[in-house]
Amino acid sequence: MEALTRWSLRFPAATLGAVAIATLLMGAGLLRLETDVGYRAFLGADHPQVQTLDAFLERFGGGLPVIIAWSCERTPACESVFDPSALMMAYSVARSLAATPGVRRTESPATSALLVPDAQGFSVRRLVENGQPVGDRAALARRAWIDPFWRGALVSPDGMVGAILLELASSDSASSIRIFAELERVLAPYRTRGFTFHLVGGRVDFVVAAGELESATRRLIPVVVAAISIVVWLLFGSALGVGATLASTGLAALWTLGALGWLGWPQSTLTQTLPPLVLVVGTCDGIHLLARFASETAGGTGATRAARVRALERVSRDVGMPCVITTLTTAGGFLSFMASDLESFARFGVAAALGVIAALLLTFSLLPLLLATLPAARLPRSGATAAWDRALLALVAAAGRRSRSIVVVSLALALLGGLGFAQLRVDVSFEDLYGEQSRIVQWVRFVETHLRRPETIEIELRLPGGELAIDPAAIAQIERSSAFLESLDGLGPVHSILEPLSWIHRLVENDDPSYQRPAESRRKNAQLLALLTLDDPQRLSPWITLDQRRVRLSAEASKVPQERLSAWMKRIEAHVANDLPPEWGATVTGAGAVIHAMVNEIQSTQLRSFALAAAIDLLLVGLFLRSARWAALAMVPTALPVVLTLGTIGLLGVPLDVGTAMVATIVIGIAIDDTVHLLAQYRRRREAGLDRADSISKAVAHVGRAVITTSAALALGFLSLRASPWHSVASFGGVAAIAIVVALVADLVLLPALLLLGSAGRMLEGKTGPPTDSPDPGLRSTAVMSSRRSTRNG
Amino acid sequence: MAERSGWICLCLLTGLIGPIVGAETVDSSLSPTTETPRDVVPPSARQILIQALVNRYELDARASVEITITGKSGDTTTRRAEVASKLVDGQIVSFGRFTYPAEMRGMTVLRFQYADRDDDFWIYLPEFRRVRRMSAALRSDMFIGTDAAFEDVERRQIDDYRVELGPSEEIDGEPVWTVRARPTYDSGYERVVYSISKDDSTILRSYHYKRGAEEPFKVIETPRATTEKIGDHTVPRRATVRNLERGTRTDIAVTRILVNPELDDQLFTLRSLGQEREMPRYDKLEPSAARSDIEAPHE
Repeated sequence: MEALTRWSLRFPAATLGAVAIATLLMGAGLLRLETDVGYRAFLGADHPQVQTLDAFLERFGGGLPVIIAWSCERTPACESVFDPSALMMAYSVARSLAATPGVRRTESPATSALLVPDAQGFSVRRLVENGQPVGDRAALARRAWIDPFWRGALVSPDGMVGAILLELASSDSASSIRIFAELERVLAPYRTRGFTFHLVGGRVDFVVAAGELESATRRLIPVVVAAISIVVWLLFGSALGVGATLASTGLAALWTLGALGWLGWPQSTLTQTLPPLVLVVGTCDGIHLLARFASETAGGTGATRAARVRALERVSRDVGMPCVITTLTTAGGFLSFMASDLESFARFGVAAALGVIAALLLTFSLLPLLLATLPAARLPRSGATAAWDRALLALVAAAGRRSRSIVVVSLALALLGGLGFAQLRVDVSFEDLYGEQSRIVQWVRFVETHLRRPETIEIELRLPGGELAIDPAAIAQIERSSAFLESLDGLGPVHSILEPLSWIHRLVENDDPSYQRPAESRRKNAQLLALLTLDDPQRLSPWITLDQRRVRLSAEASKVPQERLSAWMKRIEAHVANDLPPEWGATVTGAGAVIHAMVNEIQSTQLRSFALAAAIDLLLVGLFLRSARWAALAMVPTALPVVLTLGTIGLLGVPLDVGTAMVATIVIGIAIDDTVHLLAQYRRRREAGLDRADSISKAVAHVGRAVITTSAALALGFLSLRASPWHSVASFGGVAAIAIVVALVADLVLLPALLLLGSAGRMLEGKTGPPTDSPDPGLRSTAVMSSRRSTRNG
Repeated sequence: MAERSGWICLCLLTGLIGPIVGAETVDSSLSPTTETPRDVVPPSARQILIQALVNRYELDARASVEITITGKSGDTTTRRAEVASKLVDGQIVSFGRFTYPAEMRGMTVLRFQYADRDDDFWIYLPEFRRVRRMSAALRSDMFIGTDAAFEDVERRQIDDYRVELGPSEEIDGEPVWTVRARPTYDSGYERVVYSISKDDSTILRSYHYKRGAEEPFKVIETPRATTEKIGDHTVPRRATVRNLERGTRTDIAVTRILVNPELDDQLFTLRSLGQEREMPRYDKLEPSAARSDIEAPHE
């Protein structure tokens, strides 16, 4: 870092040119950046559960349609779904959307077929015929209420809520965004007439969520910037210093997003936190540099540029290596997410690591350049150094006096936290992810209340060669499996091919309700299905494949805790394994199964990445301090806040969500930074011959202010994420902020207590003693003075 | 060829072979027997389309067809049917009986197409021994589980479209006119672009577009190698309908066809539907005009 700083100061034009080129390049990457949210973005397109669901949707086209629901309650727009104004709205919207590229098929109360028995058989009727609402709407409405194709799908049981269903040709982001824009355009005139629409369904959810995500990010960044600015300004009293620091980290954040664009990785829920995260974490190195620079230039020693350049070179030498190590530990923490099978976590980890490394490089190149160029009067000031020193030294002294009590209390807290840590559980739903205020959640709630529940667990049953799903034996098995699913508390009703098959059977048999069941032979069932297919074969594609050897059972699922979901999945898997004929195959999928997989992956990611991050920290700190014991010592005040914070969450029985599940890994990578800075200074003084008490006192005096400032900036920065409407982002920010504060306390209280704990401290330090040569002549003189003072005291 | 109030298509199953746009009173100079010199003043888009339709559809027929439908995930189903179509009392009537798969054997459809109202379908279900009537569906609904829509096979008038001539192109080296037809009725398409042979007015390809789309969502192709000259008509023996949005396709093979045979009007009645009346055998049929009885090459 010292070389980088020196080069930057020597070649300012080249440095600025290089930064400008990199910024332009990464800015171009920003133009390629897309946003993607939802299960595919979260789990990754290659995740087995995603591929299973994709293949399932491929086979059963329209399996998870987009729902456009509206209500005729409390609106002058319509009196019921069967009202002419509502029907004409549905007709116009459905027809318009059907002609939209990318829309495979539409269903609506105005355009979908109603099979109505008549004297000669049955008529295929529609509520809008030849462009006009039909006269016998009341009779057709009565039919719609009992038609399995309609009830709960196109119209609510009370006839007050209607729905248009869209089957899309593709789930890729571009076409989803285009169709959503068309949807908005088509619905706009009806909104002005008093219709309120509720859009539900994977693709639309994702587009709306992406829009909310982008606007939330736009609102969040100024809050984070303000929080950091206040902290830096309060500590250094220099607006230009604040600007220079933010310029460096701001560029790092921009580069990070640009890198995402060049890598072809879309913005996701997780990467939304990247800009604020890079700003917050990246600022820490800048604060260390600013703090040392303020000390070095205190008393007007930075009056000339040459003096400032020399000071900056010294500062870079002093804090450069610790900053490299702390950045590497932080980056290591982020990179540990690569151990996750979740693509979103892995990408987030890589991008965040790139971001903090970019921030480090800019902190030791651009920031010194700006500081060297600033007018002397605007330089960061050291401020009330004496007061800071007194307070910090008092704290260290107190820790030294009560080291045993502090260690015992910390141990007890760690044990308690460990107990809670073991009880941690993850519970995730997309609604929790988006937050209660999200339109998506409110729309889902509306549809759940009035129509079928959009969240489902799906089972695909595969029959062996020679058997068809319309065989009586196969139908009996489908009925048994449906009954089993409905026996699970909170699951059901179950929809399958049996519904349309039974309905057409009834119609063929003169609308006799006793025939509302499958027929008793394969041939009869084949002809019944062919009859349905003759009019609108796509009606069956959600339920049975063309070769009639694969069928779908779709169980509506209530929103249940993860434990219940897990229990369902186990029982369903047992049913599939034990109760199906041996030659049959089955696949369990659907939104419920995806959430189940997602939670399992998050739990496994949490454990793996936390362990990996801790190992990386241990390794890097061990290498830097050249001592495994010192590395182990550094881990104590680092791990304690994580265990304590998350342990408390566990003890309170609050489940982790996507955001808080990341806290442990990220915080352990960040919290160790202050410990490393303190230990680096402590070790340097020990090697210079100071005793332990003096070494820790002087180390705290040397970097304590920067440590407090960085922690304050981190805590405030994370806390500002609470402003996000996205629940997972907000909860991550809150918990991370608390953990950072606890880490600061641990660094300033527990670490000194451990180091000053008599034999324990000696054991922790190992064989470290006064060095034969000190790296810093200044420290050697301090050591001599300390030795003299000890002698005098002695 | 004549002033028929409409054209006769191989409605129902055979109708899938190609998109059908209706005829109007046709100028005799545009009949299929008239040579259309390629290098003189090009005819209008309207004339080209009329000529293509007259060439292809103005016929009664008895045919055997096989339809293979392939889903997006590659699963397939095959249906075979014996079909006949005729102009009876000014109405186009089609009669089709499934012969395969076994479960559907005997299932029969009788369709009446009307110029002024929705079509009527009558279906006979042999397992239930019942005849049931179904009214026609939306024009853009898929037809019999295939990628063709009702509007692809139903009777249309040329005036249902605004047509314009596009640039001349080649398909496999054969020069074709391109005609853009925009439906003026309530259609599932915004426009259809037909590629029509300059040599014999055969429709070799049609692209179907949704509103504002630059790429077609449906393509219907009749390869030149599979067309047969039967009397005054060039009849496609194979056609492929690909729905690019759904990723599905329908392959239609006319395994045997007899053009303009003498078909008994009694075949096209509800009575014959319910009585499981035999389809007329090819060897018993006499052509009324140009006759052709061609069997497709062995599969």
